[in-house]
Amino acid sequence: MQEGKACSFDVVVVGAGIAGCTAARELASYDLSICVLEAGNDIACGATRANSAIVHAGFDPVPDTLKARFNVEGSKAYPRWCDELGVQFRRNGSMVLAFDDEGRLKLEELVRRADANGVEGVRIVSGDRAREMEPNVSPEVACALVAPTGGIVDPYGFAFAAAENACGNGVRFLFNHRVEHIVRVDGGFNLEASGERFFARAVVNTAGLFADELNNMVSGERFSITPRRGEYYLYDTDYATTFEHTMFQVPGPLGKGVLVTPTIHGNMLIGPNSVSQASKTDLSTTQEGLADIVERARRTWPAASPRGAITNFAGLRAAGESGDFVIGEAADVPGFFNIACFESPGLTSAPAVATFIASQVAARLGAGCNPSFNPRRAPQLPFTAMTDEQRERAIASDPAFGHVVCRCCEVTEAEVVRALHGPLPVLSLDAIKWRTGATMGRCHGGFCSPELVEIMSRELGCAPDAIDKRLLGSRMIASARADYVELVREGGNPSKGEAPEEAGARHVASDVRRSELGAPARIEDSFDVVVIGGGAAGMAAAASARRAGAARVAMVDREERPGGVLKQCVHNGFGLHRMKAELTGPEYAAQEEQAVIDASVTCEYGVSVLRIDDEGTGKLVVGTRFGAELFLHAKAVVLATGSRERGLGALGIAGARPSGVYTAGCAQNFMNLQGLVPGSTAVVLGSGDIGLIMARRMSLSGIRVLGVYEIMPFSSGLRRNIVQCLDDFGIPLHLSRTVVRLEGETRLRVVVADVDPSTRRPIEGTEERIPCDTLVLSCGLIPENEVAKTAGVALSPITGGAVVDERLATSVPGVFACGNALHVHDLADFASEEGEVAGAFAAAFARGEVPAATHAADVPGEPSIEVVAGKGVRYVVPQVISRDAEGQVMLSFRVSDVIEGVRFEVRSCDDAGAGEVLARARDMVAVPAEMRRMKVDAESLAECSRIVVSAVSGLAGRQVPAAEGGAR
Amino acid sequence: MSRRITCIQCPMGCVMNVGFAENGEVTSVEGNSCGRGKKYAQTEATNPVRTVCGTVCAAGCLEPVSYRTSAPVPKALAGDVAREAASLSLRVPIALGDVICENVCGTGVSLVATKSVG
Repeated sequence: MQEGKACSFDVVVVGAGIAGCTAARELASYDLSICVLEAGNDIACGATRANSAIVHAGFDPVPDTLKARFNVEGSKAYPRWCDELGVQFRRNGSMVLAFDDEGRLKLEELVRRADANGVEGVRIVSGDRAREMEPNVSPEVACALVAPTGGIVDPYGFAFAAAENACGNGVRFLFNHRVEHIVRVDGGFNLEASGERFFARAVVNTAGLFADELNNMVSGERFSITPRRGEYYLYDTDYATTFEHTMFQVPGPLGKGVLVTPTIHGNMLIGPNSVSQASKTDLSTTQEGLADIVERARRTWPAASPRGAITNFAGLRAAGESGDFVIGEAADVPGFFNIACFESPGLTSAPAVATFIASQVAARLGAGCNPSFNPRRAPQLPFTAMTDEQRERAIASDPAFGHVVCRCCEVTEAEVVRALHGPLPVLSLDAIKWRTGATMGRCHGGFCSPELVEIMSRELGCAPDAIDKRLLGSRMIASARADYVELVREGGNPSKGEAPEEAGARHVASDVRRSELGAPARIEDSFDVVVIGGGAAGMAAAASARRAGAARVAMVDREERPGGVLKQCVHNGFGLHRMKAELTGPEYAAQEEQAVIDASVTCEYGVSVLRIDDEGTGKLVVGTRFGAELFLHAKAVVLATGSRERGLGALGIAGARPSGVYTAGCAQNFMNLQGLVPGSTAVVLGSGDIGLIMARRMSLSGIRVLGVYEIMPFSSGLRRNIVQCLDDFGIPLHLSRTVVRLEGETRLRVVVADVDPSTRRPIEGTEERIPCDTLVLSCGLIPENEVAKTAGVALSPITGGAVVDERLATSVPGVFACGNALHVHDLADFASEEGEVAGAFAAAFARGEVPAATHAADVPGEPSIEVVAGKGVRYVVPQVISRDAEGQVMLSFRVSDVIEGVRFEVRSCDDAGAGEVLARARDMVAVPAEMRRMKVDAESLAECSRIVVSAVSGLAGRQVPAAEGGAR
Repeated sequence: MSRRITCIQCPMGCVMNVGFAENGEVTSVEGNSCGRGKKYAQTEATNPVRTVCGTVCAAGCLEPVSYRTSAPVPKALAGDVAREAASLSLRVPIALGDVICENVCGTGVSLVATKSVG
């Protein structure tokens, strides 16, 4: 124990989960000095962070238990608490599904319990009525209990709001303070936490899974807590409306059943299972557990599968022996209060328990009310939920509200900075994630974590290699340059002079930019063509639109400079087709940028487009940038929004949640745009070209690359990249072998195993633990079409991009698509080429030269020509060709499997099924990873109703030219 | 004597068979689709070379400057070139096309900036 005087408080609360945070808030309403000691580096590190997020109606607990009492009281208290604390809460209602007569009897029992517990509105409905209320529910449902008072909430958000409100009322929170000793002394308790001494007249034990250990140090009334793991899948917001209610299953012989529920953030959640385990800290998921919850969720939702999941996680319930909560003052230790064994419905009960315990503590200490207690916390409306007018006001008050950092969840720099300087310290990237929602979207931080790290460094003055991802020691980055913090505080520009110290430092970068701004908070302008995205496709589209005669063309990009991902692709291999020279990514981007400048395109950088509105006569592109909201009227819009990487969450890999996992592009950004070194020993998962190129990049930077693992029996990268990126550096490529598990609580280790090529399932007994600290994911790209969705553009489920005709016109007249947003390209050159097509036709549309409705569905009486992916072909773009198409039409496609001695064929087909071969090509081999292109002559399509592209294996026929190969 | 070499000149990645004479001279190249491939095979069989690309931090600017070798360097020196690049002391501004290091690793080849920073 260290020397020095103990800090003295009236009350010490041990643990800052939902119970501790709410208790602290209620204690603050009394005239008491209060300190919360938390072992973790943030609030809500335990069960509060990983649970079902349900405010239970209260029909489930056995009447006359503490669970029944506080569940019902808590459920009633939620609306007031959420109103006072500015937290979202929704009574979406709960349903419990029964599948047979036995189930119906159980539902009737629950109705009786609801009655006894005082829960209102609970009733049983028929299976048909249940299906009317919830169209996606299983046809097997016989009847269902409906409880309208069930609700959903963000447990972290709720606990955080309570903690912040407590802080505002004088409560101290100390993180990284694990209470190791507590002894009863005269008039109170001595506690020792992480080497510091504390004295408290009263102690509230809200230590979650560790509450038994704390209690047993002072009380003879011992109890024990067994961690019970529950595993979950969280789904994309695309699934938000699958169910309105929280869907429970009646407990049966197969166990308690899993729930399927919407979340307050608009995702969908399935789980949990229930598995007892010894460890109180291991939050690993397991393949078996995840498979089990999907299987059992199918009883409720027959379509359930891991598809659409954006992450999986596990939480640990603090289960006691009696089955009930342990709440109140320990009988043999006056002044020691427990909120323990606080498993479900603990979240629901927390507000009521907090009020109860606070009054007990106050009575014990003889404390009166705190006259200055303010129960209200100023509501902080997230930017994403604001109206345009609210956004304008927010941006006027702080220009950083215009800068969207996390594009998936629309979290702005202002919100991140505010969270970083809030009353509760931010000690990890996850603390920012949970407070603001940044990185919680479908890209899982692939895009925004590099920028978040930069902002954290700037605002907190700590280098990236001192920033933790989650737990203490889970470093985001292995090493950073010595002058990193200095540089980000200067905004990267040395001429701005020394950064002020501490106090004023947080706004340095903002001030620099503000002084350069001087622009109004609302910018409105009109253009013939607005191109969204300034990457390879967007730059080409913008220049092409100008060349095609559009008088006013704007190109907007969310970054400060054009080029998109090319800026960080410092390797060579670009431009072979388009520039007839082998360039690096930045050089390719510079040439395209010059073309944009030469074409007098209006460029707006740092702009995040939020949506496209229909104005009748045209489109309104709405976006924001630092200091301003933008409203750009456009006659035509080109979507060149690129793609995002498939992240860890979408891969369904089980295990722990250590730091050190990066998508290849994210690692590339850290290394090539910020000079940061992610780790020291790496494994690459996925043999796509980005992964191969990153393997070489890391090797050349002194990072040991132990191997590239590929689940498929063939590489999805180009042969030349395997030679020059792997063979040159002696990096092994393991086919049919994949990462099956992540381990570690700080930085990671991975476990790999062979997979059965036919099922792609891991083969037991082939597991190997790889001692690495970095996992780079190169598992595919997904077209980014969030903006397209706001315009109502029809998307193809196969490509993930828009359905287009040969002009690259989407289903929405005046909206065109190109590049990776349309379908994933292997080669920047082809993305640019596609951009030129889209730009030129957008210009023609803006001039009124293209009929307003060119798309298949929009031309009655003149059906377009359907383009069909035939045998061996996964997709073809465009999906339709209009009747008045002219010249050569480029068909881009991919094969669905590896085909040796491949022969490609484009056949026409009339209504009677007759047709002829329009184009042929052959090659030694075709692989799905490689985009293929063939041209057909529009004149030759006059008679046909559709054309079919096929790829079959065959003996070498007569010599025909090879189809153009794709590459990166 | 012969050796299989995968061409890295373009995305096609032709697999070529290179025949040697006893003195190590290349006598034949088969399986190439173009002249560049043949030339690559001959070089790769006798003196393999690579263009090396990377980034290096410059004082006063957060974004590292990206570079490439002005011509391919011996393959075995790729790591040395990257290390020598990393040890450079650079100051911004640096413009695309600027030579940031001459005669890297004694190869006679320069390192050229591929982007402008600062």
